[in-house]
Amino acid sequence: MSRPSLFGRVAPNGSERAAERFTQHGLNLVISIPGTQVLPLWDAIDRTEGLKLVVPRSERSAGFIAEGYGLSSGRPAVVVNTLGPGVANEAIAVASAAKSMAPVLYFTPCQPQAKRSRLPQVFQGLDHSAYMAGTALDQSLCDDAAALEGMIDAALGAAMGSPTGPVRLDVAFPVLFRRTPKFVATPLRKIASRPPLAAPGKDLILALEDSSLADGDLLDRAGLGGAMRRREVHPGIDAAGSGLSFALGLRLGRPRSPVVVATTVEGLLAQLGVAVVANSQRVGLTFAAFEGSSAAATVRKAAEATGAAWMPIAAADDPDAVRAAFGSRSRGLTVLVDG
Amino acid sequence: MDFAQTTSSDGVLCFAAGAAANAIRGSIALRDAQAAAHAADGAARAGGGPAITAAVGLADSLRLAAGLVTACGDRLPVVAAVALSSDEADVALPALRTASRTLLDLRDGSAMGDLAQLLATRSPVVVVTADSESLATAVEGAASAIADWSHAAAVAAFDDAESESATAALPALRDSKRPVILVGRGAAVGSDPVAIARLAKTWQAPVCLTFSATGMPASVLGRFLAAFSADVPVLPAGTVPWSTALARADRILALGSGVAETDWFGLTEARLVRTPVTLVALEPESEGVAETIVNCEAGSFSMALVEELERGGALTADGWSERFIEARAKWTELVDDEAQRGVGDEVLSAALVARQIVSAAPAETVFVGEGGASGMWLASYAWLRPIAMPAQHASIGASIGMAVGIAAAEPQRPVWAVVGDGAFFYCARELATLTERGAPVVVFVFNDRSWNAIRLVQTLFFRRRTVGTDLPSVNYRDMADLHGAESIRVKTAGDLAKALSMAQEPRTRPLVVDVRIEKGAIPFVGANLILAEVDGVLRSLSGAAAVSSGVAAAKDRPALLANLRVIRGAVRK
Repeated sequence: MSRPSLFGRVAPNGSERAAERFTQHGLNLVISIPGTQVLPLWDAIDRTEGLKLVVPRSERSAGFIAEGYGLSSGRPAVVVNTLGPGVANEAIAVASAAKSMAPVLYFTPCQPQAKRSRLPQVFQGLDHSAYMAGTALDQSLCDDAAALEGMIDAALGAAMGSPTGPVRLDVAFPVLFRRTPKFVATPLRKIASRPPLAAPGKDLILALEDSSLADGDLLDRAGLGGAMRRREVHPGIDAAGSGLSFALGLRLGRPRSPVVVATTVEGLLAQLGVAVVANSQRVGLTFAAFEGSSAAATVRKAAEATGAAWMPIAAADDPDAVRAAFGSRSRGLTVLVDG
Repeated sequence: MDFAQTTSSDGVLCFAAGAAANAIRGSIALRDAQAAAHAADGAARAGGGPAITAAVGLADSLRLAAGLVTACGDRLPVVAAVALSSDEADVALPALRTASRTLLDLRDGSAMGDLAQLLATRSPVVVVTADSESLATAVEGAASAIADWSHAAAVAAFDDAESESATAALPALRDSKRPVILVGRGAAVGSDPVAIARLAKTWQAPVCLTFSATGMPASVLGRFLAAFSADVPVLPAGTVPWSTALARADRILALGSGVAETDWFGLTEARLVRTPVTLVALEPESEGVAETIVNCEAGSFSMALVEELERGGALTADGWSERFIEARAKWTELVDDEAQRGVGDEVLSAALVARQIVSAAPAETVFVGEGGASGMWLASYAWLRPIAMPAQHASIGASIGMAVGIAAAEPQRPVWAVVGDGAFFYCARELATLTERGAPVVVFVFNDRSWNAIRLVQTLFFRRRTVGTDLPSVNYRDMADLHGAESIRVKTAGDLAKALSMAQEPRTRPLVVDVRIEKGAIPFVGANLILAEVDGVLRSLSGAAAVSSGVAAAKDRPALLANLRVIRGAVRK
């Protein structure tokens, strides 16, 4: 695992070993909001073939992307947010994934042992495991570089166990930074495979921001997806303002399935940052804001401000427009306007 | 209590979202419960009095907890009231308990007790109720209990029972030759500044403010500074004179329980600074690396030390304190010089923008910043002016929510906030809340198309491999328009002058200034925060830092050189 450098081959640090372990388990998506302590991991991800890094615009969004991804792919994404307030921001998404039983690995840098005994005195000091005691399915903590791979295996085993769900692995950040010349990786403990909870194949997925938006006629009214089998999914808990993140995760995990996310105009305005990210990722995704013609101008303006395409629902009778609205891997976000 | 009838001067403000806003008559409604917690934080931080935030249900309570973490780090007097069913409480209470210092569960018959005293020493306080109706009752009760609250009065209720520890600490302090007084927020707002000033004068000690103390309420700041004569240097957090004083001191007297390791370079792993610290605080939670703990009110202890010094005479080295008056003047000159350098055709230097913003802001302005590079740039120039900024957690994404609270608590003062483009979307929707309330807050978006503070660490430690820190281009004018705010885009010095002129005009809705600034600039304050973040691996990173600095110097000379010019000039002094 060593890699060449100006000064000869250098031993891997904990971040490089973790990235390698993720790929050995077949994981390929890391979602992360930066902080200083996550940077060695970003560096390692960038050097590791097969790992994709998505950087959304808040930790909360990162968590909901991971929940959608876990449900649609049947595999965990790795969420790497920074310690302290970064962890606090992701708690609602952890609780949501626990309720929907979406497998997610929250891999978080934490303070080293010497500092954890006096966290209120420490910069960005927060007791992660106490904070998350009510939300995560399982939590563990790695202070020992030699144990890193084994603890990743165990955490993924818990995420893919019965029930599936979000697990947290705190890793003391010196483990992530320091090089470990004499480490011997423990043999890989394979994790169980699970079928995705969302629709298989090319079925259309309708992502509802929360269950109150359930509307059996929604797609029919839009003239979309009549001939396709479809499945409605929504996050585990009320995710007002997070539905687009959830839908982005669904699409990343199931690239062949069209995903339509239904929200309100208020929901759309609360998610402009995610719309920018979804668009920049060029992940085909349809975002339907159904609130009548009075809001149409706002929706159009919001679509244009985020760089997304938009089309009136009436145009969805046109088969070409329907295909465009469903998006493809080469397109970004399309916003449907009812009115 | 009808919150609709209250303002900051005659009552307590309550900020809520969703069902809680409906349940609590007259509360200020925000779009998001996390932003509501930030608004209460801002009102308490800048207004000085306590504020309330409220949420109903699991999702909003978890959002509120996330915002409360920032208020807890800086020990702000915030009451967070939540309504949770039994099942919801199992999930949310661990987060709420960890995000606060006191949790009162009214469902099991607990009473709110002496809320005023709790807010002074163990803030924030979480109050748990069972449903919306009991939530409204609890909020009303809390508001009545703290309507006449003052930090100083609440602190005065403590008797100095631990006077023995105070007496025992005095000799070591008296023998100090290079003493520094480090003032935390608790001491700044709750203790008599005259007592601290008298100690500084008698002991000939420079006074270093922590980041959270630098953000003391505008009404307190003037009184605090007025207590100090011109020959006592008061040094704002993060500046080079501040760092130098702490690094060269032979004894740090830390006043106030809000003082944390970052505030005295408590680099315990790196052992870079081993200056002994005497911590004076009411109910300190943990010893940290303090050599001595004194459980005492800061003003009382200051007077006790003054008496000790007057009896035995101070041993302070000649010129120790005076040198920092000169250093402070030199620092101001250096950063002003740097601000004059950077104007490009289509992009402005961050130093210039920050300097111009601070210069143009009316004298009574409250500035709002956050933990990223934009906040550090603001702090580089807004020193010894009121600035509300998360200190202990250096949180990002809080400033627009905080501005809602500050505008409500200090309606007569202009509120000028800065936000980085990376953090803009955390609370951007609250621009619509400001619009609805007719709050003329000015929000400057430092648009450098990057996560700049993080990029800085990549420059310093990762050979300038800027993985993941570029942001897609966004037109923040369009975003402002969507929330009903006025907006202007700035690319040139002429644009900036026009924008600042707009900012000074009276208005009835917020103004968003989208400022295109250089990428990769390094703020002049905040080095202690970077060091605190990598404390634990500093030694193992020293080789990487040396190589990275070489690479950065070759590839990125202007940013590094500007910083080195300022630091070298300040240290020479």
